[in-house]
Amino acid sequence: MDLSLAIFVQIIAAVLLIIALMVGNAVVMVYMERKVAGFIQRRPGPYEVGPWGTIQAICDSMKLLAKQLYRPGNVDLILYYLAPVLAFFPVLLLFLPIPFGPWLTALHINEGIVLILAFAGLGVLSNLLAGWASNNKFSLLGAARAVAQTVAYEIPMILALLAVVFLSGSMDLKRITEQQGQWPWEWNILLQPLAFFIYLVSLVGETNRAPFDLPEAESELTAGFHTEYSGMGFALFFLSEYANMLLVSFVAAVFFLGGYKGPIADGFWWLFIKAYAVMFFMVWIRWTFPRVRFDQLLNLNWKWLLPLGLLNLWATAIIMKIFL
Amino acid sequence: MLKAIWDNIKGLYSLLVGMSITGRYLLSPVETIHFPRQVVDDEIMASFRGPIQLTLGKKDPTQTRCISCQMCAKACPGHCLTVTKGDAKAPIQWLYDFSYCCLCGACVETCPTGALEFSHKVYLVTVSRQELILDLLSDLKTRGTQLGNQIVPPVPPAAKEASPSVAPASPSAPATLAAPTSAPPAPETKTDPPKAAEIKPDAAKPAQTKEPAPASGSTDPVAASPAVNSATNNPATNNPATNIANDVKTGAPAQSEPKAQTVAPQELAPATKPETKANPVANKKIHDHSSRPAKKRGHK
Ligand code: SF4
Ligand code: SF4
Repeated sequence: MDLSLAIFVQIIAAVLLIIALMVGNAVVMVYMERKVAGFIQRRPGPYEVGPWGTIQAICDSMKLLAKQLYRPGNVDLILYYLAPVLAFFPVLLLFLPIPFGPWLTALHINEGIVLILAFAGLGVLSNLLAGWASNNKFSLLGAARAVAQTVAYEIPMILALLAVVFLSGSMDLKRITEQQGQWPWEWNILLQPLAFFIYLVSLVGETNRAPFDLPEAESELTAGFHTEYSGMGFALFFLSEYANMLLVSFVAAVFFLGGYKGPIADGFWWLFIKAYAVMFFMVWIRWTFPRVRFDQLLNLNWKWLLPLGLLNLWATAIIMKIFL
Repeated sequence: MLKAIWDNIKGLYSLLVGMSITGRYLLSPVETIHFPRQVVDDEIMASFRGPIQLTLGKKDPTQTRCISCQMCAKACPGHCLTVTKGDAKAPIQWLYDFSYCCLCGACVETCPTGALEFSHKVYLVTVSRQELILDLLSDLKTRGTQLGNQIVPPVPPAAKEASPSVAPASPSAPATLAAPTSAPPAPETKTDPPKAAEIKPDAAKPAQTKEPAPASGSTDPVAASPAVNSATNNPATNNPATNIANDVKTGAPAQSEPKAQTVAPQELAPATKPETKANPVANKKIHDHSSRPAKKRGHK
């Protein structure tokens, strides 16, 4: 791939769009999360600010921007400020290989999923740095949990994605999309239901959301690794958390739900509809299930998801070898 | 091994059940009542344990059953009750500091004569702690008068000044606190706006009742009271027993003319003189709220 000027300009434009997407996504998700939480508990959620409370999330983000950046005394200065930045920027990179439409990919590369999986690991590094640099035992405990959990849940996630990669014989997200049809019965979810299930569980673990939100368990660790962050420091963690959610939902949509393909007309709208359906599912289970214990979390991973993922991969490989 | 697998499959099923429950709740209508626009039904309010109040007397609703035995004051864990005994058994002053009350109900249970009960007042707003010290005797008089629609012997102006609710010589601390020497002269009782802001949505009711009262009662119950009084002030209504049931329903704030001046219009009369500074604000607030048409909403 030659880095000509055209590609350079294309990437810069894409990064700008992705930043806009991340911020917009955070606003939409905050509103959706609070509304869904409200309706599940049979209360209206945000209500007073704007029609149906729609301005609430924007007001909250304005407030967050205007807040003082308070830094506690004994923090490790460089790492303390590096951590939120490090949480934010790799996520930008992760959106580059996602095919938003037949002709709408920021950076078309052959091994898109490898890029995503490789840089997704950087997110946990920022959690670790934040917890370490804060010089606070809650933060450190949260960071330790984050590392143990993310490392554990990455493996079944990769195994589930690998099954689909076996199926389509490519690591290129666009080709994986192209091999699925327009209609729901032509999607990979029917060929790989177990892989989809494993992916669904491990994406909740990977994004540190309830019921697997142990790194930031409010009732135990106040806020986990971002306890000591306020204002924009916290906002960056917050943004990257929601951006990570969006990313794993995009990957789920591309791998299992037919990506940008859909009935009537293909296009990025189908990708967004599917991704937000997955996000809605994540919000729904957050407000349904209680938080698991840490041993339960790891048991679930090592004793169930990992063997199941391996079995699934094995079966996929054999069937592919024999029948195709 | 097989059992563990089976257990996990059952566990997965229970997760699905949980999600179906939350999914059902997600789609069912919300239960929240948006306060200024909607209010809770009165039947539901009947189970609400609000600040305590003196029960109405059996013969004369304005007379308390209290015998000043001090049982309640001793039982109260927050020391919020101050009962001052007069020459007779009946108390001459009954102060209740709601700011310390935990609504435990110990006073209600210990009272040997059943003189105390929980009120159902939920719309209680004040702008200072002082206003939470409530004079339950005058509150009882107000309620008794409203309920019985009867003429209480007019209180002479001198007695009015000496009445416990405004007496500077009162032994209780709040009354002395509230009379700082540097404070501007307190307004007359007559023009004194309602202070312990009992925001009662029912204040809008007189306009809808059977009483031939002018509709001006929707903003100020006192303003309407002379008219109500003239319409209902006949010898028959002087018997409280026959009128209680009638007026509980209508809730008309009917008051005799002298009482309208001596008794503050709200149900929980403050025991102390309000500070004049905060008056306009409190006054405005109350009128804003009570004149707003409140939409009732069933809580099913
Ligand atoms: S309810 Fe409890 S705290 Fe309140 S006045 Fe009665 S005894 Fe005291
Ligand atoms: S216990 Fe009852 S009768 Fe005794 S002082 Fe208290 S309110 Fe009065």
